[in-house]
Parts: sequence; structure tokens; C-alpha cells
Amino acid sequence: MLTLAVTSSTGVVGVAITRDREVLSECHVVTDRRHAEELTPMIREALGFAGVGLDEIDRFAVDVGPGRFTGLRVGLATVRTLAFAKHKPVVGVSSLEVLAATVLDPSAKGSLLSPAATKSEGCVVAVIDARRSEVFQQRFGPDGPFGEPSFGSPQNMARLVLPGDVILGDGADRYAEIYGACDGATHRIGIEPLAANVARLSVGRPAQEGPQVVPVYLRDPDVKVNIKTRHNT
Amino acid sequence: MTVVLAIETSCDETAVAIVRDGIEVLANVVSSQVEIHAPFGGVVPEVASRAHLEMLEPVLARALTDASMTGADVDVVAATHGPGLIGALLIGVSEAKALALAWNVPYVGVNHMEGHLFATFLERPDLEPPLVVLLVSGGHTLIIHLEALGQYRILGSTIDDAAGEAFDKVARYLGLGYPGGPRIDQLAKEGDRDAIVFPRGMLNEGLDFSFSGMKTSVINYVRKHRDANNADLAAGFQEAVVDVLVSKAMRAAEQTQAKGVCLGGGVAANSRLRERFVQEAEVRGLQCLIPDRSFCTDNAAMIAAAAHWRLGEDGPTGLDSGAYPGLGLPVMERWARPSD
Repeated sequence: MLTLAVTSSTGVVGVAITRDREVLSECHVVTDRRHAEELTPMIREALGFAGVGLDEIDRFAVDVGPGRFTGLRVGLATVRTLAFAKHKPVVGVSSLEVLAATVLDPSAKGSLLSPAATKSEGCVVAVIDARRSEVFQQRFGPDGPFGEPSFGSPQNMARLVLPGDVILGDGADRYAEIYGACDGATHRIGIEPLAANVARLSVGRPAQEGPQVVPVYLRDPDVKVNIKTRHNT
Repeated sequence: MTVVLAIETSCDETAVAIVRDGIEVLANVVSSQVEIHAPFGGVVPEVASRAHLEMLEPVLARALTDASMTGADVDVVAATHGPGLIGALLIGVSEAKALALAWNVPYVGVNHMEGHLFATFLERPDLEPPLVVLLVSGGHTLIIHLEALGQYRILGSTIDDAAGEAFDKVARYLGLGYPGGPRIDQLAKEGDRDAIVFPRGMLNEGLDFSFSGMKTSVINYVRKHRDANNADLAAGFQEAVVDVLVSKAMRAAEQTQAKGVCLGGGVAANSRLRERFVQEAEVRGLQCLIPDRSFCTDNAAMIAAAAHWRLGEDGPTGLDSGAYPGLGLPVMERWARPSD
């Protein structure tokens, strides 16, 4: 099974080509607002490194957020279009889970990949910057997530961290003073979601038609209805 | 033969068209978000971006079905890459680049304003420049001198609100709802356009426009005349705007000795503007073209037409390109206006 996986919901754009659990190629770039510029050429590059043609890809995988609205839409629009053109299915994966998978190996339940994390209870708190002084956050244990992803101010969200937890993600990095002060927890700086983990997490999960793979925004659009008319002024 | 599939997502329409050789429209699908934005009284960028992604596959599939084609029949993929709402543009640009990669065909990023200019040539490829084009929409009010394809000079533009924006604001104030242009157009038919005479902003001053004062004069008039009839207000305001637009476009054509005048942009769907534009052009013996309403409002057929020409002129756009919300029309230096 050849998978083309994409991550684009944070400040990192990444593409990985995998055959089952083997990573054939992987590209990443840190970008602020150039997700659309980076992604398409990177897909071509990753295919080239892997020596795989787009026609050979069996399915696509993409992280669906929560994260940066524009970035994740670029990823979904690109991946869903490729799937449409090649008549192949798509697997959507949570961006918070992709981040957590950096230290929590999804292939072997409960085993932690990172030496820095081994002293903890094995729980990971993934924190993604939601802008507007908020973060998206979810806590993962060896057997999967605890509850649903949520969002709020870093001050409030940091209260959900427990001693022994490993904290990671660009949200925790941005509010490092707050997350660094969590009692007994370890904040690991500079951990980004990796496209190879999008691919790994997609293994064994049900694939869907492109349009069924939708972004997880969590936060509603910021809309104020404020219409002055001749009758109400 | 070249088949171009073009995508337009710069504002609140999700559109895909398939056009052969820059003139033969094989499919022209437009999915409007008007109803989604109506409760907010205007286009909400984040809401627009979300809706574009939802409509991506259905609109694309429908266009291919309408043209009885598959990806294998498409030679070029194009998308509007500016100007417009950044989040909205990026959906179409990402989609187009992915299609170009998947189908192994060139990608062309198109200037939305140039697309509007090409809408004219979709119906009348024989049209002979030099032409004066009045481009009026919710975002733009421009008088453009088209010397030849790709050679544009801006003769006049708005110094404040775009004409369509003024329509929307006045309609909102009058409680007519959104979108304002069609509502005012409709209501004006029941009113007396000479009952209330609103000032014509900058009518005799050069070729630039100002609509902000005209909008304010409607609001001031209503404050003084609480019982003023909405239909007369709509008709009077519309007449004032149309008067300024048409007068300046005709003056521009005379000053530049253009062979013809064209109308484009969303406001070109306004029935009074269309009527007056044709009348005044006839009086002056100018050839006149007003595209069908479906080619005036945002659509992807015009983007395909522009892409077809641009590909021949500049070659393909790199897959590492993005969206350019503030993109301007590729103009030559500003015209030294005879009247100035």
C-alpha cells in the first residue's frame, strides 16, 4: 500500500511517501504563510525522491486540524483534488494526534519513542497555536486520546496538564512561560507535526471519498452582524 | 486546439469553466454563496473560504460532466490568483496546481481583472481595439483603455468606494438586504428616477470616481425626509451612479478616440446601466459590447479565456506560485489625460 501523506495545519508543510510502514521519502519546510507555494512542488519532489509516480499512489492521507485555517484548507484542497483526479480515497488524521505521535508511537501501544519522555506516565499533551491568544489542545495516553480536542486561552488550557505529562507543539512553544511552569510536566520545545506520522496513523483506518474528509475548525468564523438601517438608527 | 479548465474562487462564487481555444465555452459552472453571506450583509472572508472548500469537488465534477470530458481532455489548468480574498483565492489556486500536477499539464495563474476584460472577447472575438472598458464591481470601478490584448492603461478609478460597494451600502441602509445591487435594480423599476435628484460626484472632474458622497447624500436625505419612498430613493440613487459611470466612460472613449466601449464586472448586470450604456454609445457611433450577465458577474469562463491568451504570451506559471490578494492589473504607465 503506497500512501502520500501531507501535513499543513501548522507552520510546517510536509509530505511523506510511505509503503505500508516504511517511509520512502519525507520533505518538510518551516513556513509562515507560504503553504500553497510550498506544498505542490514538495509533493512532486517527494514522489521523485521515492521514485514513485502519482499514478502508483493507493491512497492519500492529510491532517485535518485543528490548526491554522488557511494552512489546513490548502492541504485539504490539494490532497482532495489529487484524490479526485486519480480516483483514490483519502484518510483524514487529527493534527493534534499527529503531533502527539512524534513521541507516542502509535504502532506499538504504550511504548514511547523519545528518551526524554520515558520518565513520564506516558501521556502527551499536544498544543497547537490557534492564534488570537488561544490554543487547541488534547491529551493522549498510550491507548489514545482522553476526550475531545478543545481550545481556550493558554492559561486555562495549561491547567489541564498533569504531572508527568510531556507537552509539545507550537502552541506550547509560543506560550512557553505558561506551559514551562506546569508542575512536574516536561515541555519539549520545537516539536512539529511530521508527514510520516500522518501516513503511519492512517494505516488501518478507513479511507473516505475526498469530500467526506473535512477540516476540524473547532472555532466558528468570527462574524459580527452589525447592520444599521434607516429604521434602526 | 487547446482546452483550458479554469477555476475562480476570488470572492463569493465557486466557479469552474472549460473553454476551448479561448472562446468556445463548453462548461460554465458557478456556485454562488450569496445566501450564505446574506445574513451578515456582506461577504465574510472566513465563511467564504470554508464554503469554497465544501464546493470544490461538486463544482469541478459538474464542469467536467457538462463538457462531457475527463482530465485526459484538459490541456491547461488555470485559476484566479488575485486580486481577491486571500483565503478564498488559495482554495482555487491549490486545486488548480494539484490538477496540473495530477494531469501533467501547465498551470496558469490569472489576474481576475484581466479575466473581466476577456469576458468581452468570449462573445465577440472579432472586437477591434482600441477599446474603452468600464469595469464596475463590488471591489473595483475602473475605466481601462485597452490598446491591444495585454496592453492596458487605467484612465480612471474610484477615489473611495467602488460602485458596487456603494450599491450594497445604500441597500443595506434602506433595509433592502444583500446583495444590494440586484435589490436596488429591482426596486428602482417601481420608483421615479427623477423624483429625488442626488448629486453626481465629480461628474465634470476628470475620469476618476467618488461614490462615498453620493451614498452619504442618500442617508442625509432619508434623515430629513423620514417618509421618503424606498423605490424613489433606489431609482434616484441608481440614476446618479449610472449617470456618472456612463458619462465618464463615454468621455474617455471620445478623448482616446477608441473604436468601441465595453462594460464588465458584477455591476454590469445592472439593467439601467446596460440600457444607458448602449444608448449613449449609439449616439456617439461607437461599437458597443455588453457581455451576457453570466459573463459580467464572477465566472471562470473569462478566467479560461484570459489564461489561454496569457499562456501564449508568458508561458505557464510555476507550481511554486501562490495567491496575490492585492494584485493589480498589469498596466502600462497611466494615461496622460487630455483633460488634465
